[in-house]
Amino acid sequence: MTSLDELRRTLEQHADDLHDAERHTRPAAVRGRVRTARRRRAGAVAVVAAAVLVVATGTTALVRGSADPEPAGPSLKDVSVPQRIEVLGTPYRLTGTERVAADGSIDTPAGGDDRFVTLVATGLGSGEATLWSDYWPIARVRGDQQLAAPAPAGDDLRVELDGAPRSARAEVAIYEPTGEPAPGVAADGVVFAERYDDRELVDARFATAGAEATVDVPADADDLTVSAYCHSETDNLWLHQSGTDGGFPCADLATVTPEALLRPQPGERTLGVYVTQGRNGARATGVDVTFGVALYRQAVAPTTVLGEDVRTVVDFNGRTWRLDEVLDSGPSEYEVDTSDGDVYLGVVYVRATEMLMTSPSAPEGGWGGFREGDGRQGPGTTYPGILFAGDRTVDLNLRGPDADTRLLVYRPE
Amino acid sequence: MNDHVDAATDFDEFVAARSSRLLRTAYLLTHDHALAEDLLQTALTKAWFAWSRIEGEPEPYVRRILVNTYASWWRRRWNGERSHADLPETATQDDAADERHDLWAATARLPRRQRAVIVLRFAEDLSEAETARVLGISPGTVKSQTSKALAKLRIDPALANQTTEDRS
Repeated sequence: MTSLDELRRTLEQHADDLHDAERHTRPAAVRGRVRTARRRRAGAVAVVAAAVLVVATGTTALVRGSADPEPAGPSLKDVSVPQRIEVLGTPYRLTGTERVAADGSIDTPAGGDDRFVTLVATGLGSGEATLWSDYWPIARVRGDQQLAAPAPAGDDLRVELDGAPRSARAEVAIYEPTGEPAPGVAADGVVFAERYDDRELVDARFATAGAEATVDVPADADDLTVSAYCHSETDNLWLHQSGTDGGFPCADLATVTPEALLRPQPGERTLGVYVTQGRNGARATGVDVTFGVALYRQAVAPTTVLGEDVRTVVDFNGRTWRLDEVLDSGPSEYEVDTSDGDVYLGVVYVRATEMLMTSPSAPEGGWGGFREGDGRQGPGTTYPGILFAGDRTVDLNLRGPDADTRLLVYRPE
Repeated sequence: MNDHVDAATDFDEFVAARSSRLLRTAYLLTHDHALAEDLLQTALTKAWFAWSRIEGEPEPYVRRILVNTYASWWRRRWNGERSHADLPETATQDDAADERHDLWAATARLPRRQRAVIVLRFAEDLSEAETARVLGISPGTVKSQTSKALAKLRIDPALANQTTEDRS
């Protein structure tokens, strides 16, 4: 019996144990959701539809303008859209714009997974335009603000206008990576960035097949995180840390994130990695492989909340956020000051058995849930996302004896 | 109007007849009955608006919506949340050991995209190419995500004897 058989059997057994008691009531429940979605869409359609023709004119201007030299970007009438933006150090260039369809949807052309979009809206009066991806709001323009912060281009984009006059206009500017790496140590288009969340790069090296990539380990550092990268079209390459047993398939290391898969050996002042053909094979030579290793250290001390160390600085949705407030209202309603713009929220919880968070920025009014088992959860931290300017209330419904929570409020750096 | 009525009837019949299978998939993804029901209804609601445009069997189409909704929306719902394994204060050593041996719990610790790949490949028995089509990613990404997921599960004693050959 192989372990994959065990995996298949485990999944099948749990699925078989599921009793579908709602099978016959589900059609009615779904119809109810459809009606709710229709009402919401209808509210957006009336305003957006009136804006389409005007937006079309603006779109032409934007596309034509995208060929202009920097720094002046194209404009949607009086809105200047940047030709280039920088997202966490990575340069992006404007590649086009898309107008909003009559139903509020935006049909973005095929492109890479790492595109960003900027919502552009004018004539909102005292209203606002919100860009949604699936069931999540990802950007908002309020009043005469005109440009939202760039956000990752997700699926099913659409714009909803709220409280805006019929003359309001909206579209999105689309940005693709220029191919230039973010500041850091780069090779073959891969970069160990200078910073990542609350960590800063200490040292990084890439090497060629058959060689070893080695970084220096500072003597005084006890908060190091190691990032290893390996990618090749050649099958069954493994990356190993010198002086240790075992290794990792290169296929597991094809993204650059400071994960603690490796760690410096006690007393060693260097950390090296090399690549073998097969798990226990000889060093791979003559193959096209990109691999390297980097050391990161904590650049900003964490903040202790309810006994839990939470990140003081985090990256989310292409923006860097710094912890500004820790709100304590117990498991109840929180008032968050968003008068200066969007905030990023975190929740620290202890001794909870269930948690539901509702806010205007949450999909369908709220999210929550619980993982398997009835045991109390925490201390733990979850980051539910952005609370957009204008949305001020967050309700945390927490269950469990002695359950407690704090709301973390991060603001853009 | 008649077309609308026909579509509505057709949709209701589909939900009544076929959604139990989809609920299984949703449950394997979410590990929670209530969340699975919510995810399924969300996917079915999205499918309703495209119902008249679906060609052929609707179940694969709805499954694709369901899995992608899970992999995007649901992933972001709990973005950054720490796993059970990071919460030693709440579990005794015995509890933690039991959990490590629980393959079901181990799959719950996988990132959403990797869990989706595992469910499609090993519960739905889809090929790499079929899984790629459902998730809208390349077969190579399916391969690497499967590899990553199994590598994580391999750390779990329940799959400690995983061999390189198993991973292909």
